Amino acid sequence: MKMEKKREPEACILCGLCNGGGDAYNLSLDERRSPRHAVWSCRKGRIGPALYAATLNSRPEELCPVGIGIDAAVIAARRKMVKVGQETVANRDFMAKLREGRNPHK
Amino acid sequence: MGHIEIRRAVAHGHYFEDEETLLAYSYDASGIEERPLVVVKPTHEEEIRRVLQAANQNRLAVVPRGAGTNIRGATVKESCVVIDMRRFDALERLDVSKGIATVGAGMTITRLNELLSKHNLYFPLVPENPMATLGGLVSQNHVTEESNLFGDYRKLVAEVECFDGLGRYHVLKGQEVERVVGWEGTMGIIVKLKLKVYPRNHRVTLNIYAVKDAAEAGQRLERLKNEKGVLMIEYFDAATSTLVGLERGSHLVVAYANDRGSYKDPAKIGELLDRRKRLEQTLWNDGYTLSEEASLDPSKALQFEQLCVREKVPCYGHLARGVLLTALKAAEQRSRVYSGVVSLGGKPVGKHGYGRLKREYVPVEVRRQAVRLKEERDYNHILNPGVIV
Repeated sequence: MKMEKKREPEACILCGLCNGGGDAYNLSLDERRSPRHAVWSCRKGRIGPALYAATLNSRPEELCPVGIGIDAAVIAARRKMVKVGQETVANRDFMAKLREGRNPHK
Repeated sequence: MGHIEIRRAVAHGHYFEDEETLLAYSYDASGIEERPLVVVKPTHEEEIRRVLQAANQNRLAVVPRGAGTNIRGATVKESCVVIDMRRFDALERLDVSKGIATVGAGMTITRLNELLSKHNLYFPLVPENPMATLGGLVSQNHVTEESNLFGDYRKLVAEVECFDGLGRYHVLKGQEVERVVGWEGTMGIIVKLKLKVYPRNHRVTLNIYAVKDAAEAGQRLERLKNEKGVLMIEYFDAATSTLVGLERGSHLVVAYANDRGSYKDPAKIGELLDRRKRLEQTLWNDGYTLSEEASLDPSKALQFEQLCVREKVPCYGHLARGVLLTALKAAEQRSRVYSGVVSLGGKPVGKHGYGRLKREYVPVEVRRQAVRLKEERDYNHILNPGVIV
């Protein structure tokens, strides 16, 4: 299968087609939790808890007409958040439990 | 000022003024970025009425918004109250025998057709962006390639329930729907729609004509336009012909909702129509990210095509309706294309409305009519100021 090179968030045209595949957006109808807003935030270099709304289900990426690497951009932004100590409390607890060999879901 | 009244106008949890929300509603698909004052997400008509009353008292601009897919900037405005209509997304009633669906304005066309498909029905005017909401599409009076048979959105709207700018609720029927359809959210906030839907039982066949250019395609139009059951008449220049899977050169494609066409293979026809439906998306992927249009007398189609050739951009579209389309790579091409269209006696709109981006191209008579209508329905000019007037 030919793997197409994904584009950076800067190439996003904000059409909103990706929102059709956004689980969090479609459940909440909240633009903050939309894939489009995640890409817009990445483009602006903004990091924040809203980036954790993405379930990284790859569907928004499949719907994107210009081939933005949405999941990779969100993961990169989350890494940045962890690096600067801005990950969410839930994420911090989750990771701490994993490091301690405990069940992170409890 | 005014925040408190707006906050009081809606239920708890329906009012937003946090940084992230304001940023998320500061853009749409136009590329324009303007930050609103607050965002409300009502679920009940009464909330909209109260928001409009509070906005009138405080002279706050109100911008109705669906999925934010508008490419002309009609859903973004600095320091306004955004009314997010997405939560009005129910199929309230479906009268299969009469072919009427009653839907909330915030429903997307994709969702509507998903629900209708269970009854072997469909709403035929699907735009290039299927995430668009029905309220938004009706506000623009959108046109698609199927409009040749079905007409524009206005033709498929049987009834509109809406608020005017003063917070008065109206149920508009028949010709009355023109009081809001096509006015881009400047004359009312659409809440509910009764739409005409159709059985998905017609067979589609095609005739494909190789033509030299848009002029030759135009010459064929007169005869074709009067044929029965013509679903679409689309012109494709050489570049777009390739993208929809046609042979080299320019083409005129005529789709019939009957057996009249000589191409009858449903698989091949389905593929071509699907490629046509996704043509704008294909062009976006190729770097032609600025979708543009022109309403012209078909006799001027060749001059428009020549303009596109000079700009090195594609030319295609709904020739029989006098709506030709293109897509640009750079924003600076816009003014050249717009002024070129105007010099041909046309308008640089026809599909997506004027929005904020093309406000200067609103004809004087349309502007005058808008001012007149505003005096009756929105004398404080709170509804989507900066669009049309």
